[in-house]
Amino acid sequence: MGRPVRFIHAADLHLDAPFGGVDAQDARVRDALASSTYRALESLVALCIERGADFLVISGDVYNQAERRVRSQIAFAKAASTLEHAGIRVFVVHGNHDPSSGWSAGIAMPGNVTVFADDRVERFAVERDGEPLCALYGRSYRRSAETTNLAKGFKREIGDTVAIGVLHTNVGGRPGYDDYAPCTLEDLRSGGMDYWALGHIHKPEILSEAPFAVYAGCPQGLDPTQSGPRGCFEVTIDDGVVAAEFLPLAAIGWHQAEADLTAATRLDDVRDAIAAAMDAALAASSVPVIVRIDLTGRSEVHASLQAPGALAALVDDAREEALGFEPWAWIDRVRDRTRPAIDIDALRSAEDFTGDVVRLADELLADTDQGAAFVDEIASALLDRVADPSLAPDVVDVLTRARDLALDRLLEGDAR
Amino acid sequence: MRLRRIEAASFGALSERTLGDFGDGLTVVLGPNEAGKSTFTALTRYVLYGFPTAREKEPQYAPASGRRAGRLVFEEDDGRWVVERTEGPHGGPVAVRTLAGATRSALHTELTQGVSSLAYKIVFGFGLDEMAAIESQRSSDDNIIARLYAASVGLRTSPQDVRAQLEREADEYFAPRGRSKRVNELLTEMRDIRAEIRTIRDEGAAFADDRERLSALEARLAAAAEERAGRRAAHAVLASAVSSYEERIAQIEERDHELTDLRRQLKTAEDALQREVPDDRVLAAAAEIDALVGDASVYAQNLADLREATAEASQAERALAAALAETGIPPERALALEAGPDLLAAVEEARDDLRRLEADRDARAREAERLSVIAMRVESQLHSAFEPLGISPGPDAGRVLDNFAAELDAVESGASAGTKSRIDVPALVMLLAGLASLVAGLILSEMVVAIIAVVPVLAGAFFVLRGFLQGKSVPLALGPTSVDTFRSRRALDAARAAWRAAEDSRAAADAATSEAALAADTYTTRVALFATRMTEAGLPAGTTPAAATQTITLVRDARRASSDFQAKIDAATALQARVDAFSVRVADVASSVFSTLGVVEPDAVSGLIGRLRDALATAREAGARHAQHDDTVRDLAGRIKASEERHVRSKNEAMAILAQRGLEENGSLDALREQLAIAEAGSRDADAVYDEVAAERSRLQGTLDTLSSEDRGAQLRLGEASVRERLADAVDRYVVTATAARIVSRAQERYERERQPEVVKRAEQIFRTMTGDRYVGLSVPLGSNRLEVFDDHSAAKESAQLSRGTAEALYLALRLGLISQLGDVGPGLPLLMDDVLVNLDPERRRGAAMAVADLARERQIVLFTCHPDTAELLAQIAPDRTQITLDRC
Repeated sequence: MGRPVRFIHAADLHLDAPFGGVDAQDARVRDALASSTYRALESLVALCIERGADFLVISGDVYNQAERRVRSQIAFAKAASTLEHAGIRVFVVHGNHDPSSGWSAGIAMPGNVTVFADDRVERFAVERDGEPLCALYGRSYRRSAETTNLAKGFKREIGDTVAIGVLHTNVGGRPGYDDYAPCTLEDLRSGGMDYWALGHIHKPEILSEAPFAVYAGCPQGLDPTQSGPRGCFEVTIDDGVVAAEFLPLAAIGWHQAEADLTAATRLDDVRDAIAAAMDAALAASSVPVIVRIDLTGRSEVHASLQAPGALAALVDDAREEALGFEPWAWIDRVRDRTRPAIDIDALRSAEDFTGDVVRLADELLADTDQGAAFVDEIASALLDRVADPSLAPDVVDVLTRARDLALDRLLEGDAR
Repeated sequence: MRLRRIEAASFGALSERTLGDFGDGLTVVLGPNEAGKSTFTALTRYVLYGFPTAREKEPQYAPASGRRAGRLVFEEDDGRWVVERTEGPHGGPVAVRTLAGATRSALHTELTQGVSSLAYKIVFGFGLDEMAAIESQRSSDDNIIARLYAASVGLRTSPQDVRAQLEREADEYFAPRGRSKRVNELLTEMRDIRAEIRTIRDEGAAFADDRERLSALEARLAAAAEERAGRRAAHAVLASAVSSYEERIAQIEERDHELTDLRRQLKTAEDALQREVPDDRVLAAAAEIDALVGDASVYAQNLADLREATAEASQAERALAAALAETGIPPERALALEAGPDLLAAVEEARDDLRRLEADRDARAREAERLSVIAMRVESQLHSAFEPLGISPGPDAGRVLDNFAAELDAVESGASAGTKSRIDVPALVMLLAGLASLVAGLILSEMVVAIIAVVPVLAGAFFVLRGFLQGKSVPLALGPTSVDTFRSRRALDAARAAWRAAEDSRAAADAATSEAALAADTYTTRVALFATRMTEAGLPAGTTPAAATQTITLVRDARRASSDFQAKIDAATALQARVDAFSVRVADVASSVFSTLGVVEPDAVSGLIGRLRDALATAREAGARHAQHDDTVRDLAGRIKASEERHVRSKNEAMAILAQRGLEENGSLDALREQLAIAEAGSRDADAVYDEVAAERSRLQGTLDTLSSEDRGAQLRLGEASVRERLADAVDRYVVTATAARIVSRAQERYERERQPEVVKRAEQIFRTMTGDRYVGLSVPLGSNRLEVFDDHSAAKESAQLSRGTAEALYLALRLGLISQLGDVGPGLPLLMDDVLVNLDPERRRGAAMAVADLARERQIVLFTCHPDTAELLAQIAPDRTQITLDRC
């Protein structure tokens, strides 16, 4: 055997993803987010060329939605064209976000792009200098909600020196992801592949090393929950020995932090805590980063944070400062989850008005129905207007915070 | 802190009036009506909170003159202070003055901390008029009861205020009917964004169709471009034809004008040609005239030089004659005299020799004379020297002396001395030097040297010979004794010395004489030789060297003058020849040009040349004009011919253009223009079609380009996410805040229901005491302006249902209950009550008085009354009270 097989395994590009759940009020941040998936694609192409890959495998969800946007298709075609000039082939399967039945703008892809069929497992042989190099097996989604175990259709042919399986699937029914093309590791093992190039799960992970089954993850994190490194894998198969190295590609990083304000007494302490969280986020990233911070702890500063506009002013200041960094950082959200520095138990036993407040809240928290009815009576008109079930409040959380808020205000200036 | 005095500086009817000193607890001020009880009560409030303006609905208490002013004197264990205020802006400035103890500039603030002006008016300083206000003001923002309620439960903030604030904050986010609320604004923003997203999505969905439409448009555009090109070409051809035809017509008209003009010019040129004829004779001599003009300046210079040379020759001739006359020799001999440098050198050499020989001759003669004198003197001295010896100095005295000496020697020693000879060395040297000079003169043929050398030879030989001849001895006669011998010896020696001196002097004188003679001979010989040379040279005999030198110099000057004269003559002759030749040339040319004959005087030559030059210039100008006219005539003839040819050609071309457009017969420019207008319209139509298709294609292309590159959709979705995040935050904040408000509200309800605040409890006790347990309960529901009392049958009555006295008892009870619970609120503020017990029946008045006295143990109370009974009652209940009697103002 000559030179080993070297290819790049990527998945879930989600070109033009909408980036839900982020409050990007700054134009610079919006621009960066809007172009981030494309920049990740550019980095992917550059990486393929730099590493001298034999081919690129994309395990589904090139686009973010079935109605692929024109810009996305043109961008992908352009990227493929660049790879074609470098002599690098591209093997693609459709995933649940971009099933083959989805709309296409009719933009022709370059000749180096091979899309696997959606009605069967399709095999393509890759040659180098006229000699067989490896065989790729793959199958696309016809529809978004593909519930068939597609892995079972993969079977290595006799004579393949190297076999690579390409599939968009939820192995083992991982929570948090749609259970599409469900399969098990055993199903994958039975296919006889040397390497399973998997897609669908956005966090990069090597599921198995015998055989190698790898989720490439998404090259660019798509929402605040997708923190941590994002990129692709460079896979080398040399005489049956597989090695997979993760390579980061993300143009923007996501970071979640928690700032404990237990010892904080003034808003300046909150400002410092936010700045420290930003510093930590930037220290861990070489690219611009979007940060979410939860303020926690039973703190004297809790009452000050409840003042209308107090936290917003701190966040605005921190945002302005963080945008001046290089690379910049954006504070997506600072959530106040601090608790008042009040001894609730002591109040609970007090025979005064605050004791009545605590006991009333306790009753509502203890009786789920009563508590829900209490909150619902307040929130129903608003929720009807918003018409977004996902915004329905967490009753316990609301009651607890409402109690704390009331106590803060009632005891304002008192030390208890 | 206690109020000790109230001082009215100028307030209402009071002027510099003081009320006090008040006691620490209860003070009863008894005074009749119009004694100023209400005025002092009001003044206390105004000093604390400011004088009201005329617009405020408050009693003004304006003084008769001046501004309102008052003072309050407070006291504590460690000092006394005055709080004073004078009417002015914003209630008038307040000041704290220390009477004793430490400065307390913040005393005024300490006193009023936490107690508003309204609260003071209702609770701390009130009369009958304000009694009911404690109930009626409950609906206002400054709810006294609520505040005191909060104070009673240990909260600095009223639950009522907290609930209201939370409700207001929640209301900022959402209200079911509020359009401008935060949630509604965000919903509107999100709706707009989503609508735009749908639009962009629809545009994206039409992308494939649009691309097909773009292809069709591009095909149409190509066809339209082709049609447009064809139309434009046809139009261009026709436009070119019209333009060419118009150009030809213009050319024909232009040629006509041109030919007319050219022919007129030809006629004028021919006339001028005939008029302008040059002088051929002058032109024929033009070369010679130009040469003469060119040489004229040389001629003028030659003529001037000739005249100068003639004058110089005359002057040289005169100089020659003078030089010859100065030589003193006839001119012919002078000019023939050999006065070359050899002669001059010989003269100068002879002059130098003669001068030297003459000087030598004279010197030697003087030396011979001097030596001769010396010899004669020495000779004269010989007689005295020879006399002791008895010898006469004769010519052989030498020999005689020698003989004498020999005899003497023989006498002295018996031996005689021999003789010896001597050679004169100087003479020998002179002889040898003269011989050497003689030999050298002979060898070198220098006769003068040879002749002169003879002198030292002869002299040298003489002295050498004389030396040999001096060898003879002289006979001596000596005495017989030794003394005589000795004397003889001495005389002999003296004689011999004198003799030798005389011989030497004679020899020297002789030699000098001989040399002087020789020098004279030499000089004479040299003079003869010079004379011979001068005669040979042609100079007069006897010419001295100096004269010979002068004569030779003059002769040489004369010769130079002669040469100079001859040169001047030659130069003048040459110049005269050139002047004459040029005059002849001028005369010849002038004769051919002006037909004149004769010799031209030198001075007339320049004028004649000028005339010739002018004539030639005139002839040449005429010739040039003639040639120019001739050229013009030829040129015009050529141009007329060419123009005629072009005229014909333009006509032919115009006909050809018409023929090309099918207008051979009756063709015209108008017909051509009509064809052009039709072609132009066709081209315009084709342009319009093309532009329309191109614009449509451009629009579509732009749309597609935008779709392929725009990130508006992504931006909108990010905007949607941002709005949704803010909406979630607003929903969360609304729900939490509204829930908090609702919890406070529920707690209030429960508190009212299950607990009465201490203040109400205390008021209830006081009221119960006042009414003698006729009323046993009191309720002050928060959030409403109702007051309820319960009688001993638990029947509830609202305040409006009570009698005036009962109601006033209720209000007083509430105040007393309230103040009893204030603790540190308003420290130092006394309770000022103005006849508030007047409407109570005796039983209730007593109960009220007891309550007042009871409260006075905790807080200072000043009770004004005009009823001595009331004062008496309080004196009974509180014997330790202070009583002040106030007279009517």
